[in-house]
Amino acid sequence: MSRGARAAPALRSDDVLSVEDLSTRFFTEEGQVNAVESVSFDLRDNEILGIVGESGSGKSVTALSLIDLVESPGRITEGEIWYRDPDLADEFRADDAVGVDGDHVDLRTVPPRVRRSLRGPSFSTIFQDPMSSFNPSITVGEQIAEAVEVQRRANANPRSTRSRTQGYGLGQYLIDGIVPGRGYTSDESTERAVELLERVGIPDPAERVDEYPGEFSGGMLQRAMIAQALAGEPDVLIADEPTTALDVTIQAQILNLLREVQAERGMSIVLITHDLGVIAEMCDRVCVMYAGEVVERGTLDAVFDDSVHPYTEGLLGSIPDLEDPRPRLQPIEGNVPGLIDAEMDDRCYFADRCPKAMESCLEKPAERVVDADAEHGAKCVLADRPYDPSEALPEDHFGGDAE
Amino acid sequence: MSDAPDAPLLAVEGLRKYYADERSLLDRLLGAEAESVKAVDGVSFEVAEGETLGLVGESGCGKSTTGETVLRLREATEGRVAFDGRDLSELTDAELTEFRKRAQIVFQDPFSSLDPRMTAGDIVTEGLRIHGLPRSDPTVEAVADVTVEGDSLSAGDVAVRVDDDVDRVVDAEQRVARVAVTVREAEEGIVAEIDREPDLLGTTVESIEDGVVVTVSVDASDRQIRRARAGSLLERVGLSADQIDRYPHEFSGGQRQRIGIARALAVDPEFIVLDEPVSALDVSVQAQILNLLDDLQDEFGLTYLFIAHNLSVVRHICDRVAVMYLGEIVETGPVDELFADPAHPYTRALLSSVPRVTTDDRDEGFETLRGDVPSPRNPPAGCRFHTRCPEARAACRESAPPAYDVGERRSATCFRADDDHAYWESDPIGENARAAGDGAED
Repeated sequence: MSRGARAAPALRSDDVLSVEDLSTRFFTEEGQVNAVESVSFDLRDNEILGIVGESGSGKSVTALSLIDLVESPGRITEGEIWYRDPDLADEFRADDAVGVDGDHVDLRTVPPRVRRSLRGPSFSTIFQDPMSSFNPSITVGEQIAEAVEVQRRANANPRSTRSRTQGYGLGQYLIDGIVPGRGYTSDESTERAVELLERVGIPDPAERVDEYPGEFSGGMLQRAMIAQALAGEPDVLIADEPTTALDVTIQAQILNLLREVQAERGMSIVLITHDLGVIAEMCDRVCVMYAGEVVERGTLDAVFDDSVHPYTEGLLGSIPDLEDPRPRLQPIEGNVPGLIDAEMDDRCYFADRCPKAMESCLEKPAERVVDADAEHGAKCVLADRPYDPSEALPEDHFGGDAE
Repeated sequence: MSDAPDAPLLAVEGLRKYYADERSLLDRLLGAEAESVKAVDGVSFEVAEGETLGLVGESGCGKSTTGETVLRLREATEGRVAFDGRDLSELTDAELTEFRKRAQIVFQDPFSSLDPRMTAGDIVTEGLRIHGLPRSDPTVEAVADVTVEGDSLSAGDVAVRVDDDVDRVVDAEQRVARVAVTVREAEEGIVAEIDREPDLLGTTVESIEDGVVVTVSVDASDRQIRRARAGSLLERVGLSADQIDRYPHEFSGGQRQRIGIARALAVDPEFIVLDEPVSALDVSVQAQILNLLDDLQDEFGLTYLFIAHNLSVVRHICDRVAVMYLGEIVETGPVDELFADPAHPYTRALLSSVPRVTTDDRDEGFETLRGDVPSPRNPPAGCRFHTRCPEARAACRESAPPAYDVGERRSATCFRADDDHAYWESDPIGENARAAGDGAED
């Protein structure tokens, strides 16, 4: 399968990851929920890409979709996820069922076991809540050593696309019960775990490696999770609200740490957060999500200083400024919409809350490119023309029950 | 309210709240002392009427416990809380009930703080029911403004009586509950109309020799009055009165927080503790709630104790701030001065840790504190912040600094505020002490 037929721009050689028209839906009893709707973005080498949005905007489901961890009743229904891996591309070049374009492979078309094998060595994830992401009954050290071991076995046998955690299932468990001391982890991997803990700034790592997650504070556990994510030496680190559960001084430590390891390892980070401050401090490029769509994307400067979409403006206007406390905030009226397919009209999803909604907003806006080199885009008619009050929608167009 | 105009509405002095651990049987046998968590350890502050005091700090610093202890939702271990000049611990039961009407709280989590089996209306009216409201205030006078329409009637012919308990329905302004009554002649005779609450107030017209007597009285049950009040409160906080019979799960987070605010407002309080009221909300909704709180404060003359960890929010809404660390207040002052020129190293660190929502002056990396907050079970000796403080010296380990005056209405508990203190002569303790501090938390 070749990529030629697609209308999308060609893959750039510095795209580690390129997502095209990704849609993820949940088929619930209440109806079909369009959690992610035709999302496209690229992740380049050595960059931190921010995905920002409010709760229910689909940012976390986007992350889960990237690493194929969407659980039933959810399913990725459409889209392509191009990942740059020359070895993998060579392996599948002859396979007609798999999309290959140069060094890039469409992960949606490779067999599930291959996708699984990439988790850890290629993609790693840090989740919001470190307390629930670790197994409370296994020491932190062993959980990190496990990840080291997965990576070691992957390196030892690079051509095998079989999941490296296979063989650590029930059979292994039974054998371990009969033959004690035959663990998955080894002294070497435990030693590496200590190094990783030291790298992420855990004091006395040699002792703490034997402690259980419950003995760590939230900030320390988040560091441990970063250590675990680094164990696989991934190209892509997906950080889903990595500091939301943390206090502000600890958040600053973790953000600094993420920035350091990013520079040190040359990885690319997808940073998902609702906090525009974190985005502003950390990211090179930003995608703003609303109701499952990327409504605006571009470099940090473009999105924050020259925002086109009224939702982006609204988000920025909602935040009290630490330096200049304006007397009044400019909130976005109303609430984030539910994403039940049947209840969503075919229009700009933000129109009912938008202060600049016009009649043309009742048609679904396509993404418009704002700047010359196509870096800055917005799904809003205002990218093409200024707001025209004579075309404004009447205030009660969407009914009075907007709140 | 108070006799002296400058007396604070709320005065807290040396407040302590310790939570004792359960002693196990073995501990008892060995005679081991119960260890206690010093959640709040000697906190003093004042809140003036109409003011918003922010109580800010990281999780575990004791800010929420302070808020709850101030309202006597938790009993203080030690210290004095005076509301409107009265010591709360000396209140009789009846006075305590009255205090609970005057002081309310809005909780952080709008999902767990509303009973899922009660409708919005039930939730908002519950406080009214408990306090036996609506109740007529004998000091409030009920007055009618009479307009007479029609040719056959002259103002002299009409006498209007207003029942004393009309203030149960009509809010009094400066001790007067005012209704406007229009008396006119209609086909069915002389009728009287009232300008508001037509469902709750009724009129009777009685003809006497030389004119008519109109009586305005409350023509509704307490339940109806409460329901009407709940409806208008819901509208006031930005919901719709039609939503009165809905259950909490039918509302979004921001709407639920509005219900929580309506519940607090229902009993007409003077003082509200806002315990992280916006931290569970999305930013766009958070801004709506902050604006609402601002408006309500102006409209009802409320006094707020605003508990938060988000410094931008505190900066936006508060007049004065108290910064807490490990159960103690380390710095207080008017919000502008304190944010512009923090005196305590902890305040400075907090401020520099906040990611700025701006693309200019993006510096590489934050100036951060090392380590975690030590456990309040076993706080560091001396200044509690010395284990993480970038300015710590040997003196900080030895004794705890008192609160120094660092400007008008400002204080900070740091030796650096005292130019003559032995601190300046002692050696920096830096890394070693910090490592020891990290060890101490295990």
